[in-house]
Amino acid sequence: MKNFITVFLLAILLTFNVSADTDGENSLSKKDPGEVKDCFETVNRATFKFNQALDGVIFEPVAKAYRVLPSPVRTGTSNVLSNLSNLVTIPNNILQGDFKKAGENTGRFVVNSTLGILGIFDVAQAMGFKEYEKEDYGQTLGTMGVGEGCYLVLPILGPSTVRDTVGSVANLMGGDAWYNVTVKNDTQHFEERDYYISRAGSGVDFRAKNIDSFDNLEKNSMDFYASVRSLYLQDRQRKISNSKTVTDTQNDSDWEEIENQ
Amino acid sequence: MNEKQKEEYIILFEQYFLKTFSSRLAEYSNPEIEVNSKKKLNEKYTMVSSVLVATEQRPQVNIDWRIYTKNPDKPLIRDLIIEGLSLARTQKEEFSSIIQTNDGDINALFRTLREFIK
Repeated sequence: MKNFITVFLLAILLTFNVSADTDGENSLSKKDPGEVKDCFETVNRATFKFNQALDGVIFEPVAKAYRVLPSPVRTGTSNVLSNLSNLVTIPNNILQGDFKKAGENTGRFVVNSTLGILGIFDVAQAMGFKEYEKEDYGQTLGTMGVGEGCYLVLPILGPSTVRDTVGSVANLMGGDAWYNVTVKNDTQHFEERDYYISRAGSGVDFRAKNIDSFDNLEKNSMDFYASVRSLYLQDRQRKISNSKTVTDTQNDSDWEEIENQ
Repeated sequence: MNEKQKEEYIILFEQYFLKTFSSRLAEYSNPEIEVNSKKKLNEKYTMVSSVLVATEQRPQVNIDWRIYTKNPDKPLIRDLIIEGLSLARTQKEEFSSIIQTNDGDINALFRTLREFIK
């Protein structure tokens, strides 16, 4: 609980810190969608290239091998990882004031961890639980009004923003119960290894699910870096607003220009 | 852009669009689309929501069609929003990125387009 409070305070501090010294004019508080700056573009592009090379020799082959596994095995793995992510989603549901979802996800976690045998089977879904939506600390910061900051490409981890990176750090500071029982504290049942395996597993699982889309996008992009940046930022905005559409964030001014000609 | 550049851009864009689209859509072979709802956003735009039904190879995909309906007799598809990601916006940002990394030179975009559609 103590850790939880620390994270909460950190989140609040960050919010006030940002709003305290500006008149809502700096890049961190900019709310205009699509206006995320790429302040570190040169470095980002280099990191992006590095990640692509790494992907080519490690993640893509592993993901391809993983895809050959029978479908129930993949679904089971994916379910276990998704179940673990509840441990980050639930505190964020609470931080976002969404107590209903927090309760729902707690129920989901309990049901799937027990009846679903450590999360292998998504029993909760069969019982009629609503579709699971992941939340993280970056999203919570977003709902609190913290802007993205600059776009950032992290080594290995991939696209992010300054805000989302700060959010990820919260996981390591006690915001992720799974991290706490594996890496941070000595517990009988879990080891540090378990955490890193689960993280790498999530990466491979994600990569395997999107292998065709990524190939297709790369093939059809003239500037792959720019396409990925655009898609990542759009996806984050959509997740923060928890909506399935982008209706509200669409800007028609470009079209009007054409129309008036 | 001057008139000549505009003409060139239209030609290049058309070819580019055809090429990327035929290739992108090839991924969705045997498509079965269910139209779920439509919502009039304002007098100019209507959003049509649809779902590309799941097959064994891929999960279902939500697709929203942003349609320009100022002239109801001649509706125009302005944007495709796939799982909340706008194609028009992605495309726009990619193009502007190419122009920007070449010091605002529109000819660089033309060169890249020409290279791509070869």
